[in-house]
Amino acid sequence: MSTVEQFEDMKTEGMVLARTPRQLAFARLRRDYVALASLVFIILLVLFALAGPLFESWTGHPVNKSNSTGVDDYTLLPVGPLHGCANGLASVGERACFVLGASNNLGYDMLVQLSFGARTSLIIGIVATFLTMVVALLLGVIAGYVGGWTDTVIARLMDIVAAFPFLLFAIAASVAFGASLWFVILIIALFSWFYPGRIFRGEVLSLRNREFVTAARMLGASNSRIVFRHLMPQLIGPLTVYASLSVAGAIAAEAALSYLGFGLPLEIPSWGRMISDAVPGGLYINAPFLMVFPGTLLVFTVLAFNLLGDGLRDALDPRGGTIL
Amino acid sequence: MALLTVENLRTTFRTDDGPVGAVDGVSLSVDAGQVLGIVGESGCGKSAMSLSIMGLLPKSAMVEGSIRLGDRELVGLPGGELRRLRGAEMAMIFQDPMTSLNPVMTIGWQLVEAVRLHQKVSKAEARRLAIEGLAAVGIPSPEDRLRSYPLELSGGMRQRVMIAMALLNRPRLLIADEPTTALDVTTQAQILELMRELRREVDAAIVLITHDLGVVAELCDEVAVMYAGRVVERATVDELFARPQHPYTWGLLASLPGRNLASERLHQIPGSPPSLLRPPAGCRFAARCPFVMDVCRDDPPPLTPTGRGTAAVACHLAQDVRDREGARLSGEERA
Repeated sequence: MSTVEQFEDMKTEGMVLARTPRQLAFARLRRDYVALASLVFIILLVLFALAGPLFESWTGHPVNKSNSTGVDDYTLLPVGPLHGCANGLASVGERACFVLGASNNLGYDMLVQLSFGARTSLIIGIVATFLTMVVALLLGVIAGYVGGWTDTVIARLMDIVAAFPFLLFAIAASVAFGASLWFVILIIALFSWFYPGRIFRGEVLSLRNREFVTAARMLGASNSRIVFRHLMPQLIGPLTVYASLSVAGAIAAEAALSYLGFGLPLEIPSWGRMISDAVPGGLYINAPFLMVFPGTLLVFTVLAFNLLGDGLRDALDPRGGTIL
Repeated sequence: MALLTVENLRTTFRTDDGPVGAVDGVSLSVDAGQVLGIVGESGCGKSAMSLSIMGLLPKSAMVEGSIRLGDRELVGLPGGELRRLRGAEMAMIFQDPMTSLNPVMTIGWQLVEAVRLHQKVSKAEARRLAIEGLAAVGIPSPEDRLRSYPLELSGGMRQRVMIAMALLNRPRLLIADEPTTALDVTTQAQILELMRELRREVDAAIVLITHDLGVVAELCDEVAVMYAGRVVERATVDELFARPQHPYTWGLLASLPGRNLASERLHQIPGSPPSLLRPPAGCRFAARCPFVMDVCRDDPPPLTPTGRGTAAVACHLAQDVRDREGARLSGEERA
């Protein structure tokens, strides 16, 4: 419908539509095809991750299980995509058929490993982001609202964390404490809260001197009520944006750690380690798909969360244009 | 007994350059059902005083002296007790209705919150009170407006909502800090009309802060003229306009656009107010006063009753000089 037609529509209804910021944001998001595509990709990825057990029974290859059929008897290379699937998908389940090939020289099934790797990535992305946002909100809001001495301490703490070399510290800590799922999650959260924290601090700093905060105090609202009922709701915008960006960052950070061999323990499938499995002995030269499949999935996943974050930022930007 | 009694109030802000005495020894009182106007130019301490009364100043501000609401002393009251009084016993209307409502919450949410902060009532009951409150300030179809966000309302409507919100818990003291300044002229008139009606209905003491003598003439019973943190003159409205006593008040009155608009430029008081960082020793208006005498530069004149009702003035000029000049100005005004 053209703009003019919509306008005519409104006239016949005899009213001008007033829209809330939320409605405007949704209207903008609906037109942002890049963000929508990212959202669709993320939904598909979640379904792909949930389907892990289905893939296991379908292919007959349990996760983290070596299959002698997955390794070429002569070259000792992992078998390629559609190996042993001569009868098409009907042959899946015969244990010799590897739809996407094997993922390493032990003959793990690529499809199954990718699906469980997606699980790992999403869990780490979401849990690390949740922790990141909790700490960022808590410290950012306290720093911004209380101000003074407290603010100085927290702001300097943010500077210190920001200046810390993440990989160096993570590798050293991994050697010292031993890596586990929680270790990876905590270390990622520890090094990512400061950025959204600064954003929230800045937001609250500018909000707390606004007149409506004084007006709320004038009505007898307590500090905690002002923070939780008046200020926090205004942070939902930046919170969504930075949560989305933070998921991307956490997934990439986990892949990097696992690639370097300081990330997750071996029994947890990880895209990062799948990529690193292709490196020793130049395996990837003869079997490039070992790197291409997990690498592509990783790139698109990180990209999707980043683009969704960008789209949300544009949609929630109060300076954004009006859409009729 | 007066509902609000302020005695020798001093509000000092600590700044990097030293303490700034925004309010310096102000005393005044208002009775229930009365409207006290506080007049003065920007920076004379009007707003600092109202925020001091409400206890809304940041901790870095020092408030000394005495502020009594009924028989309760507010200076030095713990934060929690002050909070229970705010919104219930005393409320305030701010200058800019565009910014004093929370932009991301509906009108209804904010009104219901205001009720439930002080009254133990159900959500439904609070909603009913909110609708009643909106109706009382002349907002059409108040039930629909509960669902509106502030940005969907005009400035005048928002100020009405603000006034409704301030009055929801039937406060005994209402402070209005330039409630019409940010509105356009036609809306100003409507809001003033509303305040005049409310004045009759709610039996609250109202402190109206303004720099507009026209507003004072329309609404107030008594007036206090402030200059550089001090009250320089106080009187009933009739007395102030009939026999203004302080040279600063004369300046303010002369600056009003009169009936002979076409003929001349508006009068202005030459100079600007003194820095409150290092206030002058004597009368603070001395540097701008056309009647200044030697004594004015050294001795601050105390606020002394003129003998006519409650009127008082802080000026060294002799009574007959003040009467003559005031009457002359007042006569010119009428001519």
